[in-house]
Amino acid sequence: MRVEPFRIVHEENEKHTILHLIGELDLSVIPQLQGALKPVLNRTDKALVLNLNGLTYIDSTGIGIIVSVLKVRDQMKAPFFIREIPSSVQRLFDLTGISRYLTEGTEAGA
Amino acid sequence: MNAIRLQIPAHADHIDIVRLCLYGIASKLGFSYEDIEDMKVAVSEACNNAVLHGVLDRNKDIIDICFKSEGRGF
Repeated sequence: MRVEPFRIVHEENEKHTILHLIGELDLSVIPQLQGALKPVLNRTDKALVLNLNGLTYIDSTGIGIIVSVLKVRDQMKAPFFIREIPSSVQRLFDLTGISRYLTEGTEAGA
Repeated sequence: MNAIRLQIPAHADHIDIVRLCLYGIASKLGFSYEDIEDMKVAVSEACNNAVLHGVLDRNKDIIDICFKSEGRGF
């Protein structure tokens, strides 16, 4: 089992702000994620995208952050997408019941 | 005694060590990838709860994790 330190890669294009979450998202890195979200969460000019392709683990606090982002973006009527969910993470999203609230953005659709 | 004990400082920064240790032990016992993923979730969440709700003194408290095998042992 290879443990990659958690990191966030910020990508911007014309229509999207994309945060690539890489490594293990657990209680210890919540402040890091909150810090990365703060400047982009309330922007309505671009869709906010979380790309989870490199995510190897997520715990309940990480899922809690995603739910809070969902709520904020929904209230603002601002687009929010999750991209490339790994199967182990998808399983937890299904178990916790948040899958139905997530819009999985594709390259064309997001 | 069929048990492996791990003590970590009661801080979120060390919960990844618990997952690593659990992975090693569960792999050695022959558990499947999916089962190990489930165990990682259960044990990490228990540690989260301990850190968030059980800590009285952040500098002194420890979390004691005990891995026991009730089958053929380790």
